[in-house]
Amino acid sequence: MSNLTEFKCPNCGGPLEFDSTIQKLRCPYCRSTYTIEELDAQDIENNANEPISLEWDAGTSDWKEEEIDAMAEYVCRSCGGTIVTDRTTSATSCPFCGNPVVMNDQVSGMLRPDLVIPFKLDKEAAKEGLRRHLSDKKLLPRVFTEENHIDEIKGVYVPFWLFDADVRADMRYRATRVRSWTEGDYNVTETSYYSVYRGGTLSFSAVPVDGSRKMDDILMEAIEPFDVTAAVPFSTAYLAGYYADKYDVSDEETFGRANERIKTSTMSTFDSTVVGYSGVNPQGVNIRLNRGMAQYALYPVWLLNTSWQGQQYTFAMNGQTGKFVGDLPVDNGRYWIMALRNTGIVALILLLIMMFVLR
Amino acid sequence: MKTIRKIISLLAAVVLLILSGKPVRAEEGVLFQDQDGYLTANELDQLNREAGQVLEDTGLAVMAVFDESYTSCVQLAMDTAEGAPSADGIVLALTEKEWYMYPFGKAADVFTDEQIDALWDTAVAEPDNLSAMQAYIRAAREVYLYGNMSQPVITPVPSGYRKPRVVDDADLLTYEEEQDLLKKLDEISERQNCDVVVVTTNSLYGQDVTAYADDFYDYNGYRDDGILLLISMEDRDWALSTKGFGITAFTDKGMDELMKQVLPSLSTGSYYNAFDTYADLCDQYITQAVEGEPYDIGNLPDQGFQPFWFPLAAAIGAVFGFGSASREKSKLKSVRRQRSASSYLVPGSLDVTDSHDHYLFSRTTRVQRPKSSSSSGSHGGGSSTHISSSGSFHGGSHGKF
Repeated sequence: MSNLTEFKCPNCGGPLEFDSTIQKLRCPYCRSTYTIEELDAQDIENNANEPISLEWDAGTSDWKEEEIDAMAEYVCRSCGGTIVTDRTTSATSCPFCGNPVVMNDQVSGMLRPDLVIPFKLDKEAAKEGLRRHLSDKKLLPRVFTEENHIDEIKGVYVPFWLFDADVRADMRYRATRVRSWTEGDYNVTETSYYSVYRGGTLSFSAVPVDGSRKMDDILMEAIEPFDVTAAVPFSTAYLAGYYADKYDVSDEETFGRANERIKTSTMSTFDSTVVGYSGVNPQGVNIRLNRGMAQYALYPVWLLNTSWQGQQYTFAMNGQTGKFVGDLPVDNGRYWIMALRNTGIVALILLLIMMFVLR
Repeated sequence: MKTIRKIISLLAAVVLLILSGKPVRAEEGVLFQDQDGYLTANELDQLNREAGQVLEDTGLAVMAVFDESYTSCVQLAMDTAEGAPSADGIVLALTEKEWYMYPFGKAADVFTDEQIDALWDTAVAEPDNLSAMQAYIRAAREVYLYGNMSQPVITPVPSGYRKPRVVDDADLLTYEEEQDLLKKLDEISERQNCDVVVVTTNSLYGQDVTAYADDFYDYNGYRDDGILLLISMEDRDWALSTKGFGITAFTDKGMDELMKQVLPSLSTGSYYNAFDTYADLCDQYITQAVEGEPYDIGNLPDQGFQPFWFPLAAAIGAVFGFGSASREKSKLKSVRRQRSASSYLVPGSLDVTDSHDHYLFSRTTRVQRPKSSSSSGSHGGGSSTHISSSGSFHGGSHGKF
C-alpha cells in the first residue's frame, strides 16, 4: 500500500510541520501545536478515511525498467500535484504547493525505522553553524564568504544502522621497563622485558553506520557522535517538514565498518590497561564480536549546499549536537604569505634575542 | 792610583815569580778572590757564603777570581782551579781585558760553550758587581743541576727605563704597522693606566712560554698593572701574561674569549689584524673592569653579529612559520572518518577477567660517562695566578696558533 501522508491541522486544515524547538507539530497558519501522540491517533484515522493509491503506469512510458524501479510517483493531498521522487525518499515537500509530505510506504512495514532522534536544531541554527564554520579561518579565500550563497538548506533524516556488540578480547603484549642509574664512571641502563596478557569483555551500544548510498559515508561519520539515549520510538509525524531517506544498504553490508571501529576501540581500551611500563608492543590480538540485533534509526542532519567558482561545497551539521563539518577551499597565496610572514617574524625575534640577550 | 797599584802588583808578581819559580797561587779553598777591588770585603764575604752553600749542597765549586796582574786569563783560571775545594767546579777568571770561564771535573761535561756564554750574559745583565756575581752563582748551580738555566734569558733594562710596548723581534710587522700599533698601545696604556704590550720572538731560548712572557713583563720596566701578549714563532706558541690590575681585568674565561677572537687572525698570519683586535679588546676589557664587573663566566662581552645566526634563525623561523600556516590550513579540512567507536562504549562495561604480567628477562648496558672536559678553573670564574721567577704574581694563559 503506497500512500502519502500529510498531517493536516485538525483546527484549520493547514499542513503541519515538526517544530524542533518545541518538539511538537505546529500549524504555520493558526499556530496550533500538537504532540506526536495526539497526531498519531489522527494519522490512523486519516489513512482509514482517505486511502491514496500509487498512480503509476509503466506500460505507456519509455522509461527503462531500472529507472522505473528507482522512481516513485505520488499525488499531493493538498493540491493534487504529482510528486516524482526516487524510491528511497520517504519524506519531502510538494514542488507545487510546498507542503511537507511523508511517503507512508517507504516508512511502513519492514522498512519502518525502530528509532528516530528528532531534530533539536532548526534551520536558523544551521545557518548560524555555517557562519561560525566560516569565521576564524584565516586561509579561507576572502571572496568565498562574500560570493558563496547557500543554494539549499535541508533537514534530512538519514537512515543509520545501529549495532550493539559484546566483545571478548584476548591481548598479548611485550612490555619493557627501563631503569637507569650511575655506577662510578658508568651510566647503567637496565631494560626488563615482560610478557603481559589481558583478557576481558567490553560492550558497545548503537554504533551507527550510514545506511544511505546517497549520503557521503565520511561526511556522516564526521558529524558523529549522536546521543542515542535521546532517540524515541519512530512516528511518521517527526518527518513532517523534513526530508527523509530510507536505507538502501543492508545491515549486513554496513556491519564491516562498525566492526572495524569497535576493534580499534577495543584495542586502545585494553592497551590503556597495561600501565607502569615504558614501552608496550602488542604481540597478539584476538577479538571476537558477539553482535546483537541491528536497529534501524533515522538521525537528524542538516545539509547545506553552496557553490563557489563552479565547485560544489557540501556542509553537514549534526541536527542533535550542532557539530558542523565541511571542507573549505584553501587560498594558496595567503598560505604562502602567512608562512613566510610568520617565518620572518620568528626569525627576526630570534635574531634580536641573539643580539641582545645571548651575548 | 790604579795604574800605580797595577805597576806595584805587577812588580810584586814578577818578584814573586822570580822568587818561587812559579806564579802566585790564589789562596787555597777560597771561592771568590778579588785582587782588583771590584768588590768590598763585605760583598766578598757574602759571595763566599753563598758559593759555599752551593758547594755544600751540590759539590760544585763556583769560583771567581779577579786579578789584573795576570796577562793570561786562561792561566789564571786554571791556577785558581787547582786550589779548588772540590774536584768539580767552575772558575770565572777576569783580567784587565778578558774573561774566561773554566769548568773542571764533572762540570766540564755539563757546561757547553753556549751555556758559558749565557752565564756571562746573565751576570753582566745585572746592574752592579755584587748582583752580577750572585746571578753567576745561581745560574751556574742551575746549569750544573738541571742542564740549563731557568733564569731569564731576557736582559732586564736598567731601572727607570722601559722597553717600547711593541717588541717585534720576530719581525712580523712592517715598520709602519709597528708604529701604528705602538701609537695605539701607548694611547690605551696611558689612558687606562694599565700597560698593554705585544711581544714577538723567534725563540723562547728553551724557556717555558708562560715563564718567558712573565719575565719579559717583569724585567722590562712595564708598570705593575698590565697585560702582555707574547708570540713565539719557534713552535707557534702564544701566551698572555697579566699583572696587578691586569689579573683582575682579564679573568681566565675573559682571556679565553679574547683569544677566541684574536686566534683566527693569528692562525692565518694576519698579525697586524690580530694585534689590532687584541688592542681594542684589551681596551674594552679594562674599561669594563674599571666601570663594573670584569668579563667572566656569565658576564661575557657582546661578540657582535655572528653570520651563522641568519640561517639558524631562518630555519627555526621556517619551522614555526610553515607549522602555523599548515595548522591554519588543516582547519579548513573537517570531513574525516572516525577512527574508533569510543563514543558508543558502554560506560563501565570493561571487565578485565584475566590479567598476567610475567617477568621475562633483563638486559643491562653500561656506558662510560663522558668526562667533563672543562678545567676546574673555569667553573667558578675569576683569575688563577702563579708566581713568576722574579717572585711577582701573574695571571695568564697560553696555547698554540
